[in-house]
Amino acid sequence: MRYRIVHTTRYVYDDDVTGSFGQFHLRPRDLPWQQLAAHEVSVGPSPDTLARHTDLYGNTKTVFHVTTPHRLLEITGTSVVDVAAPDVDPEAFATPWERARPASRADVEDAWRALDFTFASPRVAIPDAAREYADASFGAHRPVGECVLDLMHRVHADFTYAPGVTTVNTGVGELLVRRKGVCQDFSHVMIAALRSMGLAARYVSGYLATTPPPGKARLVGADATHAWVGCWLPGGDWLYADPTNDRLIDTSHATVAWGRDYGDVAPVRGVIFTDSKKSELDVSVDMAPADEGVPDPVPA
Amino acid sequence: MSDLAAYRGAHRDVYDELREPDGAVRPGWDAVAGPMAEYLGNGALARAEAQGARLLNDHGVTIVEQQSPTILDDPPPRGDGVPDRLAAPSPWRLDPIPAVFGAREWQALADGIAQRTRLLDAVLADVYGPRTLMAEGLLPTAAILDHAEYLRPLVGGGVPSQLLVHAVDLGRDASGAWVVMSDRTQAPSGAGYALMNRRVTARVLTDVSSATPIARLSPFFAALRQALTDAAPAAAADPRVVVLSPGPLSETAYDQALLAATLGFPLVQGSDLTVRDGRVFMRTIDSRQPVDVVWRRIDSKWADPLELRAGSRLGVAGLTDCVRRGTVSVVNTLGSGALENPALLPYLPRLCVELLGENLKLGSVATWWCGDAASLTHVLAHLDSLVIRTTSRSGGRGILGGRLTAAQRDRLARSIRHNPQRYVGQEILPLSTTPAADGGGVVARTLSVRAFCVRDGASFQVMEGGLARSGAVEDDRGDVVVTSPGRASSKDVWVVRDDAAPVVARDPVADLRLAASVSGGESAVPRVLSDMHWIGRYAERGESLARLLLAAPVVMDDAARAGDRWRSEASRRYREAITHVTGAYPGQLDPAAPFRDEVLALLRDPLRPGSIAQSLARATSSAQEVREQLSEDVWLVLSAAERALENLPAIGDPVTPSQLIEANERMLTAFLALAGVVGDNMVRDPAWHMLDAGRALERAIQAVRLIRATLAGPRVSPEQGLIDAVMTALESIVTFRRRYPARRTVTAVVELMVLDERNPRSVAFQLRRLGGDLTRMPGASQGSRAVRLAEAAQEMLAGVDPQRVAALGEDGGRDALEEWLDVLASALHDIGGAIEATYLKRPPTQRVMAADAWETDE
Repeated sequence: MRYRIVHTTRYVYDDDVTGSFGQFHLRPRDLPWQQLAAHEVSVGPSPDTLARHTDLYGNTKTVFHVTTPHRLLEITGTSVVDVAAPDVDPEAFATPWERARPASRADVEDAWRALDFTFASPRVAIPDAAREYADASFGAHRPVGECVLDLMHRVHADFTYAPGVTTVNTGVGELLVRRKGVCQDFSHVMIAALRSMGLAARYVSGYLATTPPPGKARLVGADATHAWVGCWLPGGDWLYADPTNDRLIDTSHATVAWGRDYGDVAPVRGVIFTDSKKSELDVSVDMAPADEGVPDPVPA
Repeated sequence: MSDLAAYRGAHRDVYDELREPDGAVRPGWDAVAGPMAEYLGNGALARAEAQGARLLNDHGVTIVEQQSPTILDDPPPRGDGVPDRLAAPSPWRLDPIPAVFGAREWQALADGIAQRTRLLDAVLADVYGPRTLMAEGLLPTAAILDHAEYLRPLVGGGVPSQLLVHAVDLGRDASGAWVVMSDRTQAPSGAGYALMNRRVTARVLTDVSSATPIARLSPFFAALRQALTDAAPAAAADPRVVVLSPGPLSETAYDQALLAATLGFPLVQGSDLTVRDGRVFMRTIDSRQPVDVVWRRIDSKWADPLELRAGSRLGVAGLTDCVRRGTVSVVNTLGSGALENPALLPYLPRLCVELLGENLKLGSVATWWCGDAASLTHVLAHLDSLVIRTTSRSGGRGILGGRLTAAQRDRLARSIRHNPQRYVGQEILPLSTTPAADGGGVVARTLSVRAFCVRDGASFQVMEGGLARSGAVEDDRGDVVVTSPGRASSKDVWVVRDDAAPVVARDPVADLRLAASVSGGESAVPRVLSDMHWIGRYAERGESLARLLLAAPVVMDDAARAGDRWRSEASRRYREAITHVTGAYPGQLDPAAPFRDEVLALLRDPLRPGSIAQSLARATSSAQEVREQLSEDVWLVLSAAERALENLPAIGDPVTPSQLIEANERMLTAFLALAGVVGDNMVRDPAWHMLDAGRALERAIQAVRLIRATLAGPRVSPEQGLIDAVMTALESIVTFRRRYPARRTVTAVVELMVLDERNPRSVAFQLRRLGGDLTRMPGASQGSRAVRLAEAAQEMLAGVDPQRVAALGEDGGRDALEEWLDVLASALHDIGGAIEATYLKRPPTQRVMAADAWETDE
């Protein structure tokens, strides 16, 4: 599927902002199942500096600095991507979960990199409750792929999608009690559960098609940035599960960036200098199917 | 208690620094022990201890002792990095008896330290660069990845990570061999304290130190200065280095300020720096000066609220981006704290062979990293005999397994099993014993040493000296490794040369005083200017109140002699004026309030508005903020003043008039001395002009307030005693009597104290002085608002007829004077506001951009 994605973030302030330092992850990744055909980001007012680099996890991160006094900051990313459903190696999928723990796989060349995703991270604590929750999905020697799917089903069934109940700072412990939240919270809970078992789990930030393919229902989390979970499989593949929609990712999911949790890959974050007391934030995302023949607006 | 000659170590089976097991004096000490024992005999040791303590106190040498939680406690929430509780600085403790080592032993140790620094430098470059050591399993990978200071935004940034400054905490094992207890790679503190310890010890033991060939500290500081300058990006022609401090509330604020002053680099805080066009600049009132090297004394995490810890107010937004661009160098490079990780210790011997092709010369305390299965088993089985630490220092202080209750031990074991990669068990080092001064006697104490190493071109140089710490033997058996250096006493470290090299008469950096003036042209940073301005204002406010209180008897005695109610009305007015001037209501407006208690409170109660104690405390706290700007003599003055207040009876206790007078006189002397020190020793740079402007403004304000509160409005009659008291308080009574022998009237007061531009105590004089200060500020050519307001106030005074404003109104009062002084007071207030807005303004508030669409309440 080819999509055209437009992601706009606007900050409105009630007084002049004399400096905005920001960083964003808006550029979809090139992956075996996803190709970036075109990409462009505009920042207004025009920034004094803007530099992009590839971070530790291979994401494209951009840092910018606006010094023109402003009351409106607008960042728009426009991307054209071709997305297929990722392949999963059935053999890796069938590995007993105990053997999918990077710490126990010194024999696998890249296991040490996956180790990075097995620990608690700034926004994903691993309370005892996470392990207790996870436990039911991890029967002895059960294939890791089944464990992930089962856990995903349970998170989807046990948690209610409810915008406005949580914030980016709501912790896993609290989420496990409240059992309400948005895609970020679903993902953080599932990551904590996977990590509590010693598995490597990462947070993926991306987009979900706004208009469903013909005959399919509209998915939850469209019109906003979306998030899901990757679980490491020995051999180097990752299994990507979307607990908000109770499915493995497919042609509706466009991947932008991954990290240990939301904090590593927040679409836009920053620091401003102002005496302003109030700011409003407005985010809009549109991910619509695009004609394969549509010429690329800008080179990728 | 014994003296040095009779000193023996605490236990036969523990290594003693002074004596071999057979009683012979060890190399190093052999050159020193004899003369020192002689010099310190006959009660001289107690005097040396007292003199040392006084010197440290006089120079304001302090450490802020933070109660840090142990690894069993919950870590305190820290949002922006700024301490929310004001921990008062404690005096720095120094034992006059140094730790002494022979040059040969020290050289071997130094070689080991330098090798270790080289090794850690290579490890740092790898974990933030190619990361091959983790891939090859040569590092405890989980302990590196799961470390609080392993900062992912710095990984693979293209700029190589480097260790420029490294410190090691050393102790001896049972065999007497040195081992490293921990490495400090983040932002090692203590080199400044080592320097101060040298200065004080050299002074206290002059006869011994000047006769001993002690290795000098100056080569280390020269190398440090060079290393910092050399760290600049290649493009910088004349590199500017700044020292980035977390501020005067940080634990080692003194250390930072002394080093900055010694090296001659500006001491800045995060808010003094700003990023423009991908470069770091120092914000001054009229310009931005590019910064090439940031020597940070803040932990990396806090260095950049954009890419590192969001919400930090200690750092510089955009710093990481500048580092990536290569426009600025941060020392040590951001993320270097990742090597303050005890899990590394068991891996160092092999790493040293792999990376340097050498055997590790200097070992570490035996350490078991729980991320390794066999080590985990060992630690859990030996909890009672080990120190348990977390791999990240932010995990809390280590604890002795043997001192835990059964419940605590279970809790700890559970935490370890839960996250084994975050824990290590370490052997309890026996440590050596060393002679230490204790209330005039010599006792055995444990010894540990912090040694410092700095990059020196292609190699590394170790300070020939260091910061030693001695603690009580019984407490320290084991505990020393888990307490902060602040709790025990520090010691100077003498490396005694045995090569018969000529004794160097004077170590240039070991002079007790820094250069009298350390201020330079770079001080136009608004934060610094603000503190200087307020030092001036509080010093003047304190001086005014001391004079006001001292002049009270003039009117009181006068009233008492006459004994009639008219005259006591004058004394009442004066007493009320004290309250009006200070703003310490209700104060003397309550007729029943005893005057003597009020004076005592105004002297020593820091919570009383306008009190001398408050002015002194605030001047001192501002001075601490800008310590590197001030002559060290300032601390002599401030500590003398503090002592004078401490000697007064407690509030509520009986106090005699002579005690009050004496304290007031001492305070006056102190404030005058402060003016003298500042006036004589400081370069006339923007910081000085702001301080002087503060003095001038406050003096004018105080004069206007006093005259208004005593001589304006309803008239007391007769008022001669009151007029004389006012003129005494305003320090112009001599001139007044001489110039107006027959006619000491209110008109004359107005003429001399408000209008006369030649009287250095008059309001008009202060306005001219203010104008002078302000026109010398950078950017003043554009005619700042403060300058214009000062000029306008001067014009307002020109051509005023004192007779007319001081004239009595129809009701017999001086309403015109009251009104006129009110206008003048408000003009002065406006000048203060304009100074604030023009020169002292802080940057706009730093806020976090809201995070994303689902965020509703941040």
